[in-house]
This record gives sequence, C-alpha cells and structure tokens, in this order.
Amino acid sequence: MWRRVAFAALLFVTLTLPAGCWDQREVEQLGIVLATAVDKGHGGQLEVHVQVVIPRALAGGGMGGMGGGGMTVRPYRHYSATGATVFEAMRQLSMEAPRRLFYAHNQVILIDEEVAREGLREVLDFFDRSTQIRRHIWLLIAKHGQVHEVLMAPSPLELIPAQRLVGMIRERSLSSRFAPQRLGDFVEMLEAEGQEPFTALATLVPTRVEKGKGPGGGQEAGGREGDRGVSEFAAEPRANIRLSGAAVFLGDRMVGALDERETRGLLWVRGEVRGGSMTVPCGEGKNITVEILRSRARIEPREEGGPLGFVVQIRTEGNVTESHCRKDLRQPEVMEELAAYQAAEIAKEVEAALTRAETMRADVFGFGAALHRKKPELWHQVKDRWPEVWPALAVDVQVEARLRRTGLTNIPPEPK
Amino acid sequence: MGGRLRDLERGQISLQQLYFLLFTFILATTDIYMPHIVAVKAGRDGWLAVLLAALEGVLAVLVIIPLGLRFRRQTLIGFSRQILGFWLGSLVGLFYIYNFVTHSSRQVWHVSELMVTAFLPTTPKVVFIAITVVLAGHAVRRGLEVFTRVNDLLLPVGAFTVLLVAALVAKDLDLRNYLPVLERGWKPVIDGSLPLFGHVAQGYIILMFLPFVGSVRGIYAWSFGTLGGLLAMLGVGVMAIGVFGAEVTARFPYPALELVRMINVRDFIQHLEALMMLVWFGGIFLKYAILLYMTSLAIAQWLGLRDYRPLVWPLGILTAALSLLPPEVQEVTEFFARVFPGFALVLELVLPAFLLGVAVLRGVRDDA
Amino acid sequence: MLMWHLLFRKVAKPLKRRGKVPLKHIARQEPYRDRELAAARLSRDLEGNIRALRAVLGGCQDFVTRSFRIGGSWPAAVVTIDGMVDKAFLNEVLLRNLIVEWPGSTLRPTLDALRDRVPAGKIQECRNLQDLVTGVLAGDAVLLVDGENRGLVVSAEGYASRAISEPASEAVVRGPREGFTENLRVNLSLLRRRIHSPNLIVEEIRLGRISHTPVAMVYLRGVASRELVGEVRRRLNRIDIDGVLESAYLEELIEDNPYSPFPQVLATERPDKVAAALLEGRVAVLTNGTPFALIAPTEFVVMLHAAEDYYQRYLLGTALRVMRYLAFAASLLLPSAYIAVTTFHQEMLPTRLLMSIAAAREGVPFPALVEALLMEISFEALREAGIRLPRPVGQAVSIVGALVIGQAAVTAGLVSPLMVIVVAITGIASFMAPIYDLAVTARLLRFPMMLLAGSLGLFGVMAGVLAILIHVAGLRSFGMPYLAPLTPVKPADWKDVAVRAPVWALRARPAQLAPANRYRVARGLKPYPGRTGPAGGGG
Repeated sequence: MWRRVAFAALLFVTLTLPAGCWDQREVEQLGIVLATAVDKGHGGQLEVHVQVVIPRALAGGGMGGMGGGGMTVRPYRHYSATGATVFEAMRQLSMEAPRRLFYAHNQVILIDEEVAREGLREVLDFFDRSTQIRRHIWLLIAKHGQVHEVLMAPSPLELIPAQRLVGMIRERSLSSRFAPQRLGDFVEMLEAEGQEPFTALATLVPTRVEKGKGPGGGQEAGGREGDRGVSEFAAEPRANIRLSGAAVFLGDRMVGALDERETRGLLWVRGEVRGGSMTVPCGEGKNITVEILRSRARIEPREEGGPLGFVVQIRTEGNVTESHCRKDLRQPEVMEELAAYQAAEIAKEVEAALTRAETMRADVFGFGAALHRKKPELWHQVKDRWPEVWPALAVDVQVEARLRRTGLTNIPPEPK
Repeated sequence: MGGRLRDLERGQISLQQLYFLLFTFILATTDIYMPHIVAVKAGRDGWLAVLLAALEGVLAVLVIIPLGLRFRRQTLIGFSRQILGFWLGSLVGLFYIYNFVTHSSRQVWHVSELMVTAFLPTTPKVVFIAITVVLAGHAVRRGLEVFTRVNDLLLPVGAFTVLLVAALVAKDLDLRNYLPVLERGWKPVIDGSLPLFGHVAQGYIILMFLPFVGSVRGIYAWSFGTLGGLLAMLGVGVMAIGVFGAEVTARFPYPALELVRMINVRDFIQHLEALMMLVWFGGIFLKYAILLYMTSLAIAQWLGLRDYRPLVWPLGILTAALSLLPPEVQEVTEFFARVFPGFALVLELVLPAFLLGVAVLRGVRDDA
Repeated sequence: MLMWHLLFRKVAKPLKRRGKVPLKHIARQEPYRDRELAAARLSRDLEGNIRALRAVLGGCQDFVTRSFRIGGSWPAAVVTIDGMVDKAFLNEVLLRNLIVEWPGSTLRPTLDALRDRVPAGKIQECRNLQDLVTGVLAGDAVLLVDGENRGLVVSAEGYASRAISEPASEAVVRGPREGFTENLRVNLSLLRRRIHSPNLIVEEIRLGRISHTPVAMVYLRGVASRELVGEVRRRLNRIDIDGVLESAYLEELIEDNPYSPFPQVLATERPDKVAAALLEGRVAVLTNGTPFALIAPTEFVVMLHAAEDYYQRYLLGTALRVMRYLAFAASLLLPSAYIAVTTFHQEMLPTRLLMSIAAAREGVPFPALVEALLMEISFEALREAGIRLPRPVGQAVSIVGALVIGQAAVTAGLVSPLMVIVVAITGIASFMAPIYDLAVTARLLRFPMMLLAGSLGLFGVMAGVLAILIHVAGLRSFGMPYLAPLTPVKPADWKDVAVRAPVWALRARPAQLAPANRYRVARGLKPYPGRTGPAGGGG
C-alpha cells in the first residue's frame, strides 16, 4: 500500500511540477484585445490594428496610489502591423506588443470598405478558424480610410471605443436603422444558398465643436455656455461614430450600401425590426410618430400559376408616441386608419430597399433561400443565375400594422 | 464456467446502473463527432437520420436483449463458446477482444486530441493520456461497482449539461434551416444514419455485463427508454444544423463545441467550451474505463484466468501506445464516416444475430 | 521569569516527595498482567487479601485501605482510590452503616447479609484480584470481609467531571443545548433520557490493555440490523491497544478504509444527533473520557446534515442543506477553479471582470498559483493559531491576521484583492460543514487540487475531481456504500439528502439500515386541519 501511495505521489508531482510550462498564462501577461480592424496596407498587403486594454488605467485612481481621479491615461492602446495574411500581420504585432495578445474577448471586427470590396473570404477565414475569436462578436464595415479613426474616436461615456461600438449595437433596436451582423451569422449568410450577406457600416460624423477644440485641445478655450460642463472634464472629440445603413455583399465582395431608410426596409423583410420610431403622415399634412414594438415577416414564393414571384408578409405592432393630428385616438376607426398609413409607409421603405438591392443584384433578403425551402426543384433550376434572375421577379409586399396603445393621453392638448 | 465468472467479478450492479453505463458509453463520443458526419452526409435532413438510427436501434435491441437473456449467467466471451463450440467461439471472442482493444485506444486518442485541439494546445499529449489511463486503470482495478457508481454520479451532470446547452442555444435555432426536407431523397439520410446506428447499437456491450446484473425486470423498458434518451441527446447534436445551417455545420469538426461557443447569457456567462470539454472528458474517460474493464475481463475469461486485475495496467499501457498511432483528426473522421458503419454493423448486429440464430437452432441456453 | 519559577516549583515539589517513597514498597518491577490477576483468587484471609492487593496497587500513592470492624467486632476493609470515590457516600453512608449502625449480632456477617445492608445502587461480587482491581481503579469501593473469599464492589464513584454544557463544535439556534461530557455514565444517561425504551441496548466493553477504558456500543434492538450490530461488535472486539484516550483511536481502528482522507464514521458531541441516528438504525459507540460519540455507518451525505435541519421548518432546512452542499464544493474547489480560470481559461470570464482581475493582479509579484497557495496557507495558519491560543488572545490574532495583514498585503501589492476574497469565501464555506472532520477533508484536498489547477487548468481540476470520485465511490462505511443513496441509486431515500422532506413524509428509514423495520412514521400523518382528529377545525 505504501508503495502505491509513494507511486501516486511521484506521479502527481511529475505531472504538476512543470506547472506553467505549457498553456498557463497569467492574466496580467495578457494583452486583452477588444477590437480588431483590418485595413488596406501598402502594396496590396493587409494592415491589422488591434485595440488593447490597459486594465490598470481602467481600474482608475482607487488602486495603490496611482494618479487621482480623471482620465490621465487613455485606457487602451493601439498596435498595427501589416502582412500578406491576417495571421501574419497578427504575429507581426507581437514584435511591438509587450504582452501576448489575447483575442477571446475581442468584441468587434472592423473591416475597411476597400478590403470588403475586394472580398472577405480570405480575411474572415482566420477569424472563423481561430479558437479564440468568438462567433458572436460583431462584424462591421468602416467607410474607406476611416477604420483607424473609428477605432480611435474617444468617448466620455464608454471609455473604450470597442465597448462603445458594442453598446451602440446593443441598443440597435432603438432605431432599427442599421443592420449589424455577428461574425457567425455573417459567415452563415456567406455560405448559405440564396442569401447574400450584409452588415452595418460605421462612419464618422463630425460633432458640433469649434475649431481648435479637437482631442487634446485646450480645455480653457471657453465655448458656449452649454459646452463648458463637458469641456471641463475631457476634450470634446472631433467626431462621433455613427452606425448607419448596411453594407451589401454579393458573394464575399461588398458591392454597395443601403442607406438608413432602406436598411430598415431590409430589416422589415427579414422580420428583424424590434423597435424604432416611424413618422407617419396622418392626413391634414401632419404627422404622428409610432414606436415600433415588434414585427414578423414571412417570405413565400408566389402561389400557383403565373410567373415566379414572392409575397412578403409583414406584421407589426406599435404604439403612438406623438401625435400632431387632431384625430381622436379613442376611436378604433381612427386607429385603424393610422395603422393603414403606417403600413403604407412600411411598404414604401421595403420598396426602397428592394429597388436599391436589385440594382446591386444582391439578394440580401433571402428570397432565394425561401425559394429553396419551398420549391427545391425550381431553385435548382435558377440558382446559378440567381443574381440575374431575382431582380426581375415581382415582389408583393403585404403589410399588416397594428397600433396598440396611445400613451397616456388620447387627444393632443387643444389650445383654446 | 459460471462459478469462475463470479470469481472474476464479485460485484453486482442494478439494471439502472447498467443502462447508465450504456448511456454514457454511447453518448460520450456520439455528440462530439456525429453531428459533423451527419451534417456532411445527410445535410439538413440530419434529424431524419437520427430518427432512422433510432429505428435501427430498435432492431439491435430486439437481437441483443434476447441473446443476453438467453445467457443470463455468461458474458459474450463465454456464451460464444457455448454456442459455437470452443474453437469457433474462441475465435469470435478474440474478434471482440481485438475490437475492445482498438476501441479503447481510440478513446484515449479522443481525449488527448480534444484537449490539444481546443483546450490546452501546447501541453504535450502524453500528459492527458497518462492521466486518463492512470485514473481509468485505477477505477477499473477497484472493480465494476466503483466505476459504475462514478458513472451514476457523472451521467446526470453530463446529460443535464447537454440539455442546458440545448436550452441556451435554443433562441438561435432557426427551424427554416431544416427546410427543404428530403431535397436529395432518402439516400443521404440512410447514409447519415449508418454511422449513428453504429454508435447507438453499441448497446451490445451489455452482453459483457448482464451476468453481474441483479434483476433484469424491465430490461426492455430500460432498453427503449435509453434509446429514447439517446434520441433526445442526438437531437441536441443535430441542433447545430438548425443553428448554423447544414453547410456551416458540415465545415465544423466539432459542431457541438461551436454550439457551446454560441452561448452568451447577458455577456456574463459565455465561452463555456472549457466546461463542455470537462463534460466530454468525463464521458470519454468513463467510456474508456468501461472498455478497459471489458477488455481485461474478456481476456481474463478467454484465457481462463482467476483475476482480471493484473491485466489492467498492461492493457492501459498498450491502449495508450496504440492511441499515439492514428495521427490526424481527418483520418478518424474518415474512419467514423466510412469504415466504422460497416464494421459496427458486423460487430454489433450481424454477429450477435448470428449467435442468437445458432443458439436458437441448437437449443443452447444458459438461463436456468 | 517569575512565572517560570512558580511553575517549576509547583511541579517540582510533588516530584521530590515522591522521590522519598522507598522503592521497596513496590513489590516487583515487572508489570502485572490481566491474566495473572484474573488467576489470583481471593482467599478467606482478609489480611492476606489486603496484602495481595497492596502488592498490586502498592505503587499507587492514592490507594487507600480502611480497615475496620463491622459492628465493632468483625474485621473488614474498604479499599478505594482517593479522589475517585464519593467521600460523603463512603463516610456518611457506607462506613457509618457498617460500623455505627450495624445491628449487634453475634453471627459473622455473611456476604449476602452485607449486600442487604449496604445502601448502594449497584453492587457486584468479585472473586479474583482482577475484578477487584478493576473496580477500585474505576472509582468503586471494594468491601472485603474476613472469612469470605469474595469481595463486594460497591458503586461509589464520585470524581469531579465537567458539567453538561452546550457542545462547542456543534451549536444550534433551535434544539437541545446539552452536549456529551467526558463521563460515559452521564453520556449514556443523556441517551436514555431521549429514548425511553427497553430496546435501547447498551453493550459495554473495556478497551485498552492498560487503560481499560469503558466503551459502550449502543443500538436499538429491532431497528438496527443484526448484521450491522454484529459487525460493529466484531470490529470493536478485535481492538487490542494499550489505551483509548479518545474515540478517534477507535475510529481509526474500526473504519473501512484506513487510508482515506474522508471520515467514514461520524463523530458528534450531540446526544440528540446520536439518538436520531439510533432511531434510524445506526449504531453508536461511546467512549469514556471524551464527549465525542461515534456513529456507524455514516454515508457521505449524512456528514453534511446538521441536527438543526430537522428542528427548523423543512423549507429552511432544505435551503440550508443546498447551501451546505454548495459550500462543501466551494471549500474544495473554489481556489482551484479560480486559479484554473484566471491562468488558463481567461475567455470564460466576462470581459469586464477579466479587466478588473487583470488590473488587480497588475504588480502582484507571484503567479496566481503561488499567490493562492500563500494565502491559503496563511489562512490555515491563522485558523490554527486562533484555536490554540487562549481565547481572548485568539480573537486578537484573528483580527490582526485577517484585517491587518490582509489589508496590508493588498495595499503592498503582494496579493490581489480578488484572491483575498476567494480565500475568505473558501474559509467561510469550510466553516459551514456541520462535521469538523469533513471540513478538514476539504481543507486537505484543496491543496492538491490547487496544484492540479495550476498545472493543467480545468482539466487538472476535473482529473482531481474524478480521482476523488473514484476513491469515494469505492468507500464503504461498515459495508454500506459511502455514496448511498446517491449511488447505488435509492430514490426512496432521496427525501433526506439535499431536500429535507417534512417529518410526515419521511416515513421510511434509510433502506439499507433497517430492512426489518422500515417505517418510522405512520401513514397519512400529513396534517389536514378540520378533516381529521377529534378537535377538527371550527368550520
């Protein structure tokens, strides 16, 4: 027995002794990457930027006597490198970054528009294959040349740009005007038959700042009254990031973009509108504003007879949040009338999206996939020519809108 | 012979414990490798392949259980001699022993490969192999009852985890991914169901354990219940097709792992691969222990030894060494997809059916 | 200096005095053996008997022989050990009765006549030196009469013992506050007070070649299975040891797997717990000289049950149990899980948590494993120091250790605050184990688990857990599988594992314990106010 115990102890020691030789890595040795961007580099190479957090700076002044309140240090750092492939560029980074870069917490992949236009298959392969990169992180396209700025734009609310992007995406249903995709979903769409991928575009929007007050600009340069409160704490960034619209792909190449209105048209068809507001004319040349609650959509290949076509059925529910009309919202007929106006408005958005997508021949709506599901034989006849075929097909958009509640008042206040 | 068998193993397990063992045995590797093969072969009709495999499983039950009940006090090794006579029976026994050995070495390979691929990439494989073999060998040497109890405790945890994964990724499930149904007809479905059947019909291992089971009341109920449970578990594996679509699933070597990677509860609980790995490791470890036990017991019985324990460590080392032979994942996947179905069919259905047939014809039985 | 001087003198004095005793008083050098004593029969000669006794007990300065004449005429003697007997009883009752109040009779008093006259609760006859010596040494008074070759062992023990007090290691909020003492008689009485049944059997044996410690095996006839009782008896009977100073000696001699870190016999100082165990069909072993009774067999889950679970409302009892199971797991696994996740599987952490851990670890000079080991070891040292030191000082030590050192270590950047939290939670969790022995097990196994976690991450932890499971699955406690009723699966007994079902639902005793006497609660006792009972509701 004692011999066996001794043997077990020996085994235990030999197995545990080389601790740290293999896969062990201490937290503080990691460079936690929160965002990765792929840009065009020189001479057809790819340039990869990573955003690495500086945890100490993030933890703030509380810890062991580090500088007092306020953001004296930017809590993140950028590293860039170029290479023929993404992986090569990433390994190049290790020559600059003092820590082992750790991608498991990467939250956003940002890709330059030009890179996207040349095709994403090679670029995405690395991310898809990596065991560290998660499939549910967001894939965004940045306007050409803006990748770096989008990643760098500081923001007082979320200290790290990557988290700011994620925060915006999380609240996407407040507007439903951009259509971000998760990496995994994007790859699925890339691979699926009869469904072209799309994802949101990130752009820079200049903020209303006076000249000379860019990042790092003088804090004492007094501005308007309202600005003073802000500028006392941090320099107002020159530009804000705005996520808007959708980049549209044909295969793995980006071929164009939908604007914000068209993007919501796309989301209507896909049944992915979960919120947002719509301004709907209510006759009398005035508007009401509807807050969208939820929506569902179905795409069906057209029933028997006649040429091939599609029926898109959209159902949505909403609340009236603002009314400029004099109409009495207590009356069911009025509500129905308003809902019909809304339905018409939705149909217009969808039509706009369809028209734009048709010009790009990219079936981002998934008509092909719907046809595949319902009429596989027919699909196999047309699938090779689908980009040419589908723009010509008729799409019948049927919208059923319902207005549920009207807020806390029925009729707008009436000045007497 | 009967008396000698009880000398080899004095422990006794219950029917429930036996079927828990079987469940672990089948599930351990099925949910890891099968979804990929099913997705490749049957595409989006993978769920049909699962159903079909379950139906084929019923067939296996109808062969194996009567055979087992006919020889209540004997193992596969023992009764094949009783049925076919010493020499032919020994040959059959040898065939099974060979199969057990290769099968167990494959489990060791699974453990090390999984760990290295997706878990601890730079740790030498030998570490995992050594730990698995030492633990399993230790468990086996302590007897049937001991590793059965470990399994009793771990199986519910494992099954619960699988169901939890299913519940957590259910929101990403898009049933449209299963449409259209039977696009390419039944052939791919049948193709996909065969490797699955090869796993489900591993139920023949109960032929090695039945002599140590106390009461066999309700054995058919347990068999079909287990089949149903397996169906549910395999269904979870096939969920990957519904979540990712058939094309993407076919690209993943471990679709179930990808399912786990999808899990994200409020950005707080995420990246649970490591936990899933633990469940898999536990499962394969138990499968290996069961196999190691069956191998040692079978060899001891085949050679007429009085104790199987001295065989455990040599066999452990042998299987560990063998596990270093098949070098690549691709080959094993190939094996599962092409070779295994036919091999399994012989091993798990044809041969037992043949034994049962001969036994019935010759009127041999041992269920007094 | 002064203290030392005083101490030294106090100890030194009696030593000196003993040194004066001429060694020739002790008749011989080699020890007396029980067999030899048992063979030495008493003679009819009182003087001879006393001489023989003095030869045996002569080395004991506290051995007292009081010779007197019964009723003033018949020579007799009472033999006692000073300090072991109740002096009031000896002088005021026994001796007064025999000397002063003896009815003048010309007949030589026979032993039977004496037996009738001696007002003591328990009188036994002894015929050889062994019985006599044993009785005297256990605190009885032995009455020897001239002309009789037998003596009377009169129960007169009256040594000071600790009063019944609340058990220190198992306090309750609701429930009885009595705890066992060091006195076997008192302890048995505590059990008798709870179970008034003729079937409460107490089998007493003396264990210890030299110590002759009384040990009582207690069980309920008709409830405990005969095989179990026989097995416990057999294991106790085979014990041959010089002395039994604590029940732990017995525990190590009767348990099934002597190498296991897991306690296989439950030690408790709560009489109510022992009574409950007896009612379930278990066997208790009480040892004189310790308040800790042993209960056998004991499964793993029972170790995590507290007596109070049954005294509180069952929902609370259940909730506490669930917490206790989790706490046990935490006290075993939390540090290793923390090490594994932070040094191998950082992807599992939520992003923000990872960042704050990284920030906290920034500047800590040790790897997480070393940090954890350091903290755990100092925590264990602190705990041990707190127990050993005199109570008021102990508290100061814990405060200094926990607050001052912990805080200082964090501010100095030697340890990350998160690690302090982990260690603290682990510590609290280990205090939740109702049985000290089990807490110790978790504390011990924690360290190899941490090493495994530090070298192989969660895989190492899993391997460790598997190793423990394999070990535990093979354990038995007096033939009963240690993990029952979890495995082998006994669903009928699951009402009293993590869930503490209400009393009316806990009808059956654990299946393996009392096969012959399954049910302890009558059927249909679930209260239905208004429907049953004569006093039915007002409606």
